[in-house]
Amino acid sequence: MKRKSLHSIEWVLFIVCAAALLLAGGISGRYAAETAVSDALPEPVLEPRDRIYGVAVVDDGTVWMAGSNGKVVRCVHDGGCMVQQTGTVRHLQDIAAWDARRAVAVGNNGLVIVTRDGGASWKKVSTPRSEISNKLFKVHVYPGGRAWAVGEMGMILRSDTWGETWQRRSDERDLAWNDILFTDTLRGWVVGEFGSIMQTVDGGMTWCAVPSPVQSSLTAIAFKDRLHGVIAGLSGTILTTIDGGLSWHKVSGQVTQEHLLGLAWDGAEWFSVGTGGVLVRGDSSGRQWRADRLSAEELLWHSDIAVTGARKYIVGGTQGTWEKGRWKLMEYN
Amino acid sequence: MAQGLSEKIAEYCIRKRLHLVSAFLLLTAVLLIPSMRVDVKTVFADLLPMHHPFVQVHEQYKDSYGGANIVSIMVRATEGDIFRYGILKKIQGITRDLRTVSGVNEFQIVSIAARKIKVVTAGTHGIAATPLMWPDVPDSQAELDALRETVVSSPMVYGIFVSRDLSAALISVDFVDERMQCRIVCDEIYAILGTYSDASVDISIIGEPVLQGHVERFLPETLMLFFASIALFGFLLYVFFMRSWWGTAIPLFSVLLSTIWALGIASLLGIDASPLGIVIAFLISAQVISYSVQAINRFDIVHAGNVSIAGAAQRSLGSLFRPGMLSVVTDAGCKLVVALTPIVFLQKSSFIGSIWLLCIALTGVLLTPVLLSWLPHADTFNRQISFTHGIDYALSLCTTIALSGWRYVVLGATAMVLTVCIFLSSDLVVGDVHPGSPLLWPDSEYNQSVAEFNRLFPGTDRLFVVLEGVKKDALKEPHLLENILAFQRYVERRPEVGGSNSIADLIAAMKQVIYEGNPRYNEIGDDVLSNGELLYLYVQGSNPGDIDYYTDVEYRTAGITFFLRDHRGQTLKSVIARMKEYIRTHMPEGARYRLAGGIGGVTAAVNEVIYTSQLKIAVYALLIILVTATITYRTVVAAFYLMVPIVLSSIITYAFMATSGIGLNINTLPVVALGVGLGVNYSIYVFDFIKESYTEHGTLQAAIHDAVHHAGRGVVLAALPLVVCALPWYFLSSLKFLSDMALLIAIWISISAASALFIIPGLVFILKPDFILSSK
Repeated sequence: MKRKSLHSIEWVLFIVCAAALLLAGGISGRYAAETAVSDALPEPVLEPRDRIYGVAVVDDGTVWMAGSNGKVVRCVHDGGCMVQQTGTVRHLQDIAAWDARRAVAVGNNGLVIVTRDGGASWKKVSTPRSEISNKLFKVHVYPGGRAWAVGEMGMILRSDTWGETWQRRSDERDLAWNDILFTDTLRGWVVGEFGSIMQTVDGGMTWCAVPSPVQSSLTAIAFKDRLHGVIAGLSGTILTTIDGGLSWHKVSGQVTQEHLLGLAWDGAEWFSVGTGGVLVRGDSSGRQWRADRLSAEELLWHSDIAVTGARKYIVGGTQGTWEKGRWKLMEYN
Repeated sequence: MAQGLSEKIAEYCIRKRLHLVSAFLLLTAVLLIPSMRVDVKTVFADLLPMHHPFVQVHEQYKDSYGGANIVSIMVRATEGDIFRYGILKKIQGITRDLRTVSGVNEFQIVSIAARKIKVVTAGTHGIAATPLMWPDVPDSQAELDALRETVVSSPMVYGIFVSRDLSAALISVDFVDERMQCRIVCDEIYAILGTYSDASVDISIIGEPVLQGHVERFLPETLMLFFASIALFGFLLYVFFMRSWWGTAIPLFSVLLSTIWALGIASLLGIDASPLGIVIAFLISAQVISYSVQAINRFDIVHAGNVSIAGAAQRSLGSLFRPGMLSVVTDAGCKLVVALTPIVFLQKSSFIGSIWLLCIALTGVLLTPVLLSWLPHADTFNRQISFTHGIDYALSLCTTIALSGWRYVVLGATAMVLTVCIFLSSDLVVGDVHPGSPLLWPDSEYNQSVAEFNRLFPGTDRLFVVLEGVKKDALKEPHLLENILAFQRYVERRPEVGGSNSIADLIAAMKQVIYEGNPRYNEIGDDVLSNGELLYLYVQGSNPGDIDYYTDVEYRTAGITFFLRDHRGQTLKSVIARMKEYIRTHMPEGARYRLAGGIGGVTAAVNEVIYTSQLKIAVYALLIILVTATITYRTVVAAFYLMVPIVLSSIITYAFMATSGIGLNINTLPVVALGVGLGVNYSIYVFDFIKESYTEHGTLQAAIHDAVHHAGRGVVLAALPLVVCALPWYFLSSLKFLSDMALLIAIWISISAASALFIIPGLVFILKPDFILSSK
């Protein structure tokens, strides 16, 4: 009896051993055939391939950023950053915000999207279109729900409804406007290709050309008060005015060869950023300018600056802050 | 096989011993010359599973999008950036001189000094694509500054051929696989670099041919270690165990003979050997020695019973013939199943291994007793050496454990170890475990260079994916280009991917250029026409082949190159899985993605093949044991006993590899797979001795005691010196791979020996198998 039971144990052990091995082989073969399933990776806030063209900061410290592939990132003051579901993959060229909840972003092919709920939802709105091309480069917002946007084919758009509806305020022409700025409800400027500058004194009802001292494209405009303003452009172009934009003068000497794409007045100094990691700074008189790099390692382009207090948010090929004379790349969580 | 047959063969062999030895010597003489002609080299084609779709894509497109043998040279300025005349001149010189290297693909020498690296500029004169730094190197400071600015603003150059911190430049060179010999390439490149080295630059070099060249440089050292190990074995055998020149010389003579035969046959069959295959040679030599030592040991035992020398030789041959042949056939069969892996290198290793093993049947099993029959003295082995007393004491302990209640403790502990090891072995990685090459030590010059490359550039290992359009000009379609960009973006999210580039990047960069370099226009065109114009602007005035890196002349297929930070198994698995995931959900209309070429693609293919093959190999190996043991002992239950040591040693080895960070790759698989049969003869000899002895003594206790003391002694004599011989490899080898494998083999042999001495006797005594008891 004992012998028989031992014999049975042998057989059971043998069969279990062989079956386990065959099973392991089979499972492994099937697993390998299917290959591994990719680990789920959450969409990062920003990734190396992202190009962030526009940045805006509102009073409570909320930062809005917009860029390629329809990406909008909203960062709350001393909090985290989140990618917004914009529902588009078209490139966004700029963003502006009235407050932490209301914002508008513009981009390629006449794309305009707005949010009223802090970016929880975005709505695409229709805009007047050109038959030829419709890239919108810049948008600026003003109190009372007003917004101005500019782009290709001489496009100047105005909204008085928090970006929900838009009207064209210029004739179509084969020229791209790169930036727009209003110093009050009536007086505003647009700058664009071929050194073009136009001014309005009637709230954008009519626009008239202002003589420009350069032929190269102008990309950004800013005023520190009603009289003193600066325009930045390609190939290191810097123009200044001290008469409220009636006349513009090229800064003497070549400050930099780099393209200047973004411009801001921080209350004490002019700041401009552009290609090659350049940071150009000018004193309040607009006479003394010097070019430097954001840091020795920073060589990529930057297209926009937003100022809040002592901190400047600078975006482009990389994103970071300039504060107390130091460039710090943004860390996202 | 009947017992009578073994004895008849033994009697015949001893009677015709002169004929037999003459025939063996004749065979050796015939095979001596071919054996010395075995080519030791790395054949890249042999390392690839040609049927695998990745390898097919690689073979189809490697000439355009980069092969697996790209060598990357980094010229790093020791101070400041590279934009100094002297350093740029060196980059230009190296780029030019690389054309003289044997087997080089002249069209695939790329650096900032190459004619094909162009920048497109838009100005008042129109749009022009001009070489970045060809034919002349700028020498004025203004020109150097302008070059620096141009590089930084060229997305296809900055970060790829010049590091982001501008301190290093990359020169990449590819080879025609069929015309390339690693050692020669390696030497020629080092000679070129030597002429440009000085204090102003650090020049480092990586790439598969360089790695193999490094390995081949260690060939003399490795051969020396091989012979030193064999000599050490002889010394140990003589001093501590045999105390007889004959007893020492015969196993070594068997190794020599079987080596000549195996290499001679391999040479005649046109099979060449890999430099790393020496570890396999060591593995098999170890087995030859095991068989020979067993035969001598058995002869010693029989002769001690006052039997004449010739009679003892005949009886030892008769009694060992069955277990010896069973071991050899099982072992050879286990090695032959490795050929199921569709990689030529593994198939060659498998064939050489099997042939070598079958040679053992003649040299280890037959020749050793025949040579012993000519011994001049009767008491050659009957010496009282203190060390053998130690062995006898250890063997008594084994017997005591097997026959007392301790056997349950040993078997229980074995089961526990097995369980833990099964758990641990689940972490075994297919592919490489660490960045750099696992063949070399982490602090080796090569692996340090790999780390430096990865610090300054997106990634050292390239992997390309091909998008094949259905019709001509498919690659001008915006939806396909957008799809490519989305694909790159999706895959780049893996941290193991340093970056990528494709024709879509090129078109986007072109559009930015024609819009005055404004990055707001870094995007592809809205329609086929505008993308076509952008491509036309790039290729106008260029040389044939300049755009090949991105697309073909019909714009039908595109290569998307990913730069991986390493080629670890996990990296490739994750990246490939992510690519497949994208393709599954985003396959575009009018085109299809095909994975994957470059060193990353083919390594992924090898890993996949190894993954699917390795368990298949294990299962088939066990089936072979099942068949051979069943035929020999006429019961399937015998196979179970012999499977135990094999399963145990395999699982413990896998667990060791998993915990030591040794991956299962094309280099380790042959060792692991060929090792399946390693030491199985230990168990077979003990097992067979128990059966034979039971017939004689009639009690299982006496049979086990006899088997452990006699066959077990042979196990210790064969295993212990081999384990010690693995130590020089472990401590002295300049190749980490050989050091790891030496330890692995030592562990494997130890487990096999321990199984034969502790587990087999214990199991037999507990289960009392019918086929042993019925042999009374």
